This record gives sequence, structure tokens and C-alpha cells, in this order.
Amino acid sequence: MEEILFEWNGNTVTAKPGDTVASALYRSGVRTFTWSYQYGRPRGLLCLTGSCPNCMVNIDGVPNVRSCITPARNGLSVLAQNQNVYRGFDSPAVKRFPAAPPLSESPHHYQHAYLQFDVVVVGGGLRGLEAALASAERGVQVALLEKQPALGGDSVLVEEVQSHPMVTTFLNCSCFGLYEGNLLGAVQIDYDRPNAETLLHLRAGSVVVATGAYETQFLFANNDLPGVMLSTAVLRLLHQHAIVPGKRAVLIGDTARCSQLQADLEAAGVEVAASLPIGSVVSAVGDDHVRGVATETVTYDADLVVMCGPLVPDLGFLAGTLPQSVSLVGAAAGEGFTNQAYIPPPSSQSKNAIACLCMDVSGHDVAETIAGGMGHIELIKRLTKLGKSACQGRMCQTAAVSLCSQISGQTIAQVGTTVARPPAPPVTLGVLAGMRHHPVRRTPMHYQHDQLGAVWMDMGDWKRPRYYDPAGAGNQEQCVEQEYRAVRERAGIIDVSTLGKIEVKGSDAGRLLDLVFTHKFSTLPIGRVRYSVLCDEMGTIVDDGTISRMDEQRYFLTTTTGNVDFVQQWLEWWAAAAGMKVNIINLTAGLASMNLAGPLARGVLAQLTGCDLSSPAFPYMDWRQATVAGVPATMMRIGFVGETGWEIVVAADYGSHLWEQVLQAGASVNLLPFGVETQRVLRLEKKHIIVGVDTDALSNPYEAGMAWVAKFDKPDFIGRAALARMKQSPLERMLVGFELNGAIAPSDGSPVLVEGKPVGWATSVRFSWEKEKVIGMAWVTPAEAKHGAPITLRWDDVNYSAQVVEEVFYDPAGQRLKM
Amino acid sequence: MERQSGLHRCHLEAHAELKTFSGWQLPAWYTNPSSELEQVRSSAGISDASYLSKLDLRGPAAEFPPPARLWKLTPTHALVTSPLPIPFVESSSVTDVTSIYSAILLAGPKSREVLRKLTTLNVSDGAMPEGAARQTRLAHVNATILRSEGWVILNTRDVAEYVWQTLLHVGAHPFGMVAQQHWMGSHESA
Repeated sequence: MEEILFEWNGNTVTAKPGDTVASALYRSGVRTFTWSYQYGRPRGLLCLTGSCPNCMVNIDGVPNVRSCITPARNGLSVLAQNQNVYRGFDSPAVKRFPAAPPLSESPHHYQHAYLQFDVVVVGGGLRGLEAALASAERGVQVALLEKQPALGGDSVLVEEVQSHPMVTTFLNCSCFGLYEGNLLGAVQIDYDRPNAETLLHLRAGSVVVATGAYETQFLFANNDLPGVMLSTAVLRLLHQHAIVPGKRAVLIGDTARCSQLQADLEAAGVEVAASLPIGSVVSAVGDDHVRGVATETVTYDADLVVMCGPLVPDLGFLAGTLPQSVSLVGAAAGEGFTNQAYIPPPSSQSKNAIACLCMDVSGHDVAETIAGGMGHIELIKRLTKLGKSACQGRMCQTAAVSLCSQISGQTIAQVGTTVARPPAPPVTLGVLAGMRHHPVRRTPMHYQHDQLGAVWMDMGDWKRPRYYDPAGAGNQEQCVEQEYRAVRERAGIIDVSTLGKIEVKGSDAGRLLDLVFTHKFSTLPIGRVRYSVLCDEMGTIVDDGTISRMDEQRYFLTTTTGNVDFVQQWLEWWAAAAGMKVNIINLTAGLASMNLAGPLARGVLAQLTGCDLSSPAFPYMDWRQATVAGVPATMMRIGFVGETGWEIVVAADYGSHLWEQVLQAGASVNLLPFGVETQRVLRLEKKHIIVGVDTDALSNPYEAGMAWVAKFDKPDFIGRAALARMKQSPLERMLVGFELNGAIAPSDGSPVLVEGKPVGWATSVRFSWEKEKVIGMAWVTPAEAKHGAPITLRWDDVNYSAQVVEEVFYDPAGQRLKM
Repeated sequence: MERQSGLHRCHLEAHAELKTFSGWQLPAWYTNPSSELEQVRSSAGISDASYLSKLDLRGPAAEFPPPARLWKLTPTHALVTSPLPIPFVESSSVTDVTSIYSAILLAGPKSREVLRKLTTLNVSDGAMPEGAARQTRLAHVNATILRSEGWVILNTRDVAEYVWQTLLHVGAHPFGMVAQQHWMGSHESA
């Protein structure tokens, strides 16, 4: 027979085909599988059905793997857990095994799959097989989920199910939750690869729950000793793995099941010393393993204690009221048993009677909590942590409820149960994360920036060059200064394809823009561009951009990089609300745009187009369409950075070509590409705001020093009433420019102090090569909003003195834009 | 000027043999057309179909002669696609969106399995027969999926490269234009 070899704490263990990791370890003589989390109590096999925490081990670096449902495979590295837990103030920490390896990025194949079925049957036992076949015979698509490596029940039915074309079977697949709309979450494990788990998102027309029942433990002193097992574990060891679990056994609990089990054990050669009702048990006896069971009068020697414990329908993955399309069958519906509670023996209030195996909560703890006045089962859970860990209450709920009922005199129904909350069983975080697919948005010129040495920054999902470092010297200030000087003295170009671009067209296009923007657009002449801000009903600035009138019924809008979806929805909302005949198309991804600016920009662009670029023919805030570098382009003469410049827009498919052509045409004047950081310095010198950087969720145009954007020469627009009121009211704060004394630029966001008290904060702070000083913009109270007013910035525990400056820092008359 | 699709860089990195196909620079093949075709026929393949002309129609859908195909997205919103330029008049209800959307043809017997790893959309034959079009999410980005000789996945061009790499990651194999033309041909006659 083929042998399977794996490692247990560094020693080689031999397994047989069909073994789980747990059965192979038990066969090889392992009795203690783990130590309890809190007190380091030794723990051995208990349920063998994946319901308890006692067999959890670390397999190939993954902690908390339930070894009893994990097939044994060659080459596994299995480690016991919790061998190093702190064992109280008096006893030294015990080191029995090498420490578990640190959590690390181990190889993994986590993925998701989205599937739809008419019927999903959870549980591949007898009743699950029957349900799956019955549905399949009706000609509908059926999924059958089974957490074990094989279907159970009846071998003829198994054959029939597996060969049925309408049934898809998922083995090693634990269902962990039923969510709204019959969405089932399940994890399927592929044991052929390391950490290969698939999160199945199953949409089901109807759900059949055939998960059966699990057996749960009794509460008495030392009930958690290795060798004290549930009958499910003993039956599986005997019949599934052909392992004789002990020599001499004591059985506890349900009489009928005990006598059946006694026959099975005796047939396997196990002596049964006694069969006891739970009420007579005082304690299990033993240190590292059970040696016997004590009643009031007798102690029975035994190396195996079997609990025929209460049976509980396995419904942990269900929560709340079930819809009609979810049905329970078989033991999951409570068929075939009634003993869901019991009367715990007196010793169940011992410190050694462990109710919650996961968190080491004893009967004593539960009794103390009730005595302290917190007798509600939900309070007991919150206070003691009972039921809050890996087995999610499976092993402790019945014991705790029974004890609670006994102490308080309430009925079992009055005590109730705690609220079930999926996921149950636990799910690895890795499989929830799935494959690490994170969207990246790239402009058509992305790889050209890369070649030019772009240092990248993230703007949402977009990648934008912060600046370029062609030499890779790592000196940001030097790189930015060079780019800055290129734009101010010669020419520079920046990729602005990430800006939102929206086309608004239709007979009501002008009316819609009049309604949503502060400026008037229905009268904007064709061929002109206008800057405007978008305010909400409160008069708060929510976006800004340029709007070009392309023809009678068509406008072209730009928005800030992060806001295009919002602006599109905002426009669509108001168009629908006002019943306007207009279509709104988001063109962002289809267009490449770049801003060519600087005193020598005209000469560069003239090499690429026949369009007359002189100011009389193509004045500031006009647009023209022409062929540029052989491709159709729209040019808008605008100036965010404060120099003569054109924003050139072409189909994205030509973006890369045009960028290359501009760089070539600019080579003779040493044109440089510039990044977002350089642009921020350039525009700060012009005091051009960036919405969301210099403004916040409450900023209005008056505070921002942009009173001129509010145009009351049209009947109504969004925010008009609020703006009209603000115009009459005193301002609470103002956005002002300032110059700082000293060469160090405090961080954006530094608080602004006046006489030691905070009055606002700085929104943008940069070194200005124009002023040869640190400049910035800041929110201050109106008292400081006058030229020369002294303010203090505080950053990194240092004060920086500064003065408010009213004038724009660079070209206050705005002549350079129009040259 | 030749047009470059949003997947241009993916083709370069895969050492594709680039050729011009009706004004677009596209990969003729990556390794060789016959093994690429074989892979599509036995597994799942992806191919750049961004060259498809695409029109966005608002309001009542107009008719377009073949090979153009009309895809209804909502009662008042439709797409038209065609392997050839579509004669049309730009108006307030018609927009050429060819450059906005990249298009990836996903085809082969395992193509549905690939889709099911990335989208919650029901892609069974019953829910999405030949000729159906759906707007959905795929790998955390917006996508329009057309059922046509496989699946044509439309994304905004800015995420094209990301979607292509994601499809490769979940097991699709790239195939070039030569194999794509064979696939289309064999599919039509079949």
C-alpha cells in the first residue's frame, strides 16, 4: 500500500490513504494536538467533524487549520499550536516544541468564482443527496456542497448524484454564510496546491440546508482532557479510519446511543467499564491524558471517555429569519432527536469544567458572571468571550445555556441562545482578499513618462508623474526646479489626460450648464472657453474646470482628476430633474490631453500645426480645431500655470505619437516634461486653487476669494440662494496667500497660529523660485486676512513666522498668459 | 498616422509581431498563429479587438447595415460595433466612442470559467445568449460584455492594460490578429 509521509513538529509521521492529518497523527500515537489559548491546558481530539477547536494545527505556515477535515498528504509540515502560551505568574512558560514560524507571504492561490444555480444543496449526506437528485430530476441546475473530501450517505445515491448531468458537486467546500438574495458564501479548498482556496459566491434560486447536526460536549470537571471525546470522533476513528481508539472506555450520556456505541466498541475489542448518565459524573481524572471517570462513589479507570452529547442542528451559517426559498431537511431541521439540553452535574461549576474550549471559559466563570448580575446569555458571551472564537459556540452554547438555566431557574427557551453571525466556520483572510487585482488607470503616454524617468504618484487609481528624474539622482527639489525654470523661461509640457472630460450636447445643453455652474454658458460664443466652479445647493465649491462651447448645442467640459464620475452623475441628475433634452458622455478615457506652456511654447507648437497661433488670431480663452503633428486636435488656450499655453486634446490612440512630436519640436529650446509637483508650485504662484486641496467640504467661493465666480445675472442656478445669503453675511474664514520667513517649507496642513491660538491651517506650502521664498495659501479668520498681517505656522514642534500677502505671487496683472 | 490601442504596451512586452490592420497597429501573432489558435480552441484566449468601431446611441435605436451590430444596453441606450468604419452623422444622440473603449475578445471552451472568476454577472447560456449585451463590473472595474463569437469585453481605455493582465493572470492565453481572423471565420461557418 502506498505510504504518505509528513512532518509533525519535525518528526516524520506515516499516514494511510484516506487518512486525515488528525487520524494519521492519532494512529501514530499523538494524543495532545494543541494547548488551550488561555491556560495552556492540553487538548486532544474531540469531534472529528470540523466542529471543535481541539485539532487546529499550523500546516505549511497557515495557522488554525482543522486537521480532522484536512486530508493527509506527502510532505506537509504540521506544527502544534500554542505551545508557548504564558501559563500564569507562578509557572515558567513551557516550551515543548519549536515556535511556529512567523506569518509571512507564503505561496498562495486564493481566488473567487461567481456562480448561479437554480438550487443549492448544502451538505452531502443522505438527505442532501436525496434533495439534490429530486431537484435534478425536475431538470434544474443543482449545486451540492460538501465540506468533507467525499460525499456520505448511501453509495448508490452517491454514484447517481455524481453521474447526473444537472448536478455539480463541490467537495472540500464549507458554506460559511447565507446572505441577502440567496447569496451563499462557500470556501472550496484544493489540496493539490499550497493555500489554494476558492471563495464561491453562489446565487441560488432556492437553498436546501442538509447540514445535519453536530454533537456537543457535556460540562463536568476536567471535561477537556485528551481522551475525552464525542461519540462522533470515536465512530469515525473506528469505522472510517479503522483505528481502535483506546483499551478501556467509559460512556456518558444518551442511553440509546451509548448502548449502540458499546456494541461497536466491544466488537473492536475495547472494554467498556461503565455507561453513566451525565448527572452522576463528577469529574474526569488525569493530568496530560484521561485516566478515569469519578462519580460520587466510584472511580472507573479508563483511557477513553466518550460523550454521547446533545445533538444540535448545524445552522451556524444562517442568521435571522429564513426566506421561504430556504428549506431545512433531516437533522438540520431537528429530525430524529430532541435532547438539545441537559441538566449539568454539580461539578459543572468547577474552574476545571471548561465550557468554551476556544477561550478557556469555565463553568465557574459563567456562574460568577450570573452571580454578578449579568445573567443574560448575550451578556455572558460579551463578558467571558464564551462562544466568540474559532468554533463559534458549537462546543459551548448548549453547555452554557444549560448551566445558565440551572442556576437562574429559567427554562431553556427563556435563556435563549446568542445571535448567530456568519461567517461560520471561520474563513481565511487570504481567500476573502482573493487574487490581488487592483485597478490601475494609465494615460496613453504612461510608458513615455516611464522612459523619461517619471517618479510616480497615485491619484485615485491613476498613475501620474510627480516629477521626472532622468538621471535617477533622487533629488526632488533639483528636478522640480529644472522643470519649473523650463516652464517659466522656455517651455514645458504636462500630461493632463487624467482630468475628467465630458461632452454635454442637445438642445438644452446651454440651459443645463446655466443651471449647474455659477457662470452663464448659454451666451458663451462658439469658439470660447470659460473657467467656472460647480457649487452644490449649500454654495459649497465641489469642482472646477473649463467649459468650451463647441457648437450651438455642444459643450466640452473638463473636471478635476478625481471628480469626473461625480460631475457626470450630478449633470445627469439635474438634467433628469429638470426634464432637459441633453446627453452627457464621459470622454475621459478616449482623449489624450497635454498642456504645453511657457514663453517659447508658441514656437514649439507652430512647428507642428498650420493653425495661426498669434494672440489676435487665437486669443487667451479661445479654442481651435486643427491638425497637429498630422492628427486632428482641439487646442484650448488656457493657463493654469500662468504662462502662454495650450491644452492640446487628441484621440487617445494618437496620444503617444503627439507627445513624442512635441518633445522633438521642443528639443531646440530645451523643453522639458513637467510633473504634478512642478505644476503645483507654478499654480501656487498664481494662487489658482485646487479643489479638494485648498478647499474642503465646506468652502464657498466668497471665503476662497473667488466672489467673481458667482454670477447673479441669470434666473437661477444650483447654490444661488445660498450664495446670495453669503454675499450679505460676514465671512467666518478666508483663504489667503502668505510668505514665510526662512527656507524650510512646513508640510501642507500645518496649523496656523495667531498669538499662540489656532486660527486655521495652511493648505499648500511650497518654495517659490519667483519669490525666492516659501509661499503658500492658508485658511485664517477675517482679522488676519489683510496684507502684512503676521501669522505663525506650526510644524513638527517648530514655529515659522509668516505674513499674509494679498497680491498674486507671480505676474499679478496676468499679462504673461495673454502674450 | 497609425492608431495604437490601449493594449499596445502589452503587445510590445509579449514580443508581438506588429502589423497594420485597417489603420491600427496590432499584433499579428505572439508566437505563431496556429499554436495560438489551437490554444483558443482547447482552452481560453484573449485578443485585442479595440479596432472595432463603436458608436454610442441615445434615444430610439437607429438601424445600421451589416457588418455593424446593434447592442441594446437599456431601452434608450445602445451600442453599435463594426469591424469596419461605420458611416454615421455625429449628433446630440450619436457619439463615436471607438477610442474610449478598449475591446478584448475572450474566446474558447474555458472562456466562461475565466469570466466567472472576475464578474458577478450570470454568464450562462440561458442568462446571456448570443447577441446579449450587459453592463457590469469585471475585476473591480466597469465593463460592457457582448456575447459574440465568444465574449467581447469593453472597458475604458485607461484600464485596458490592467484588465488584459488580469485575464492573463486567471488563465487566458493571448492570440494575435491572424488567429483572431481564423477564429471569427471558423466560427461564422460553424
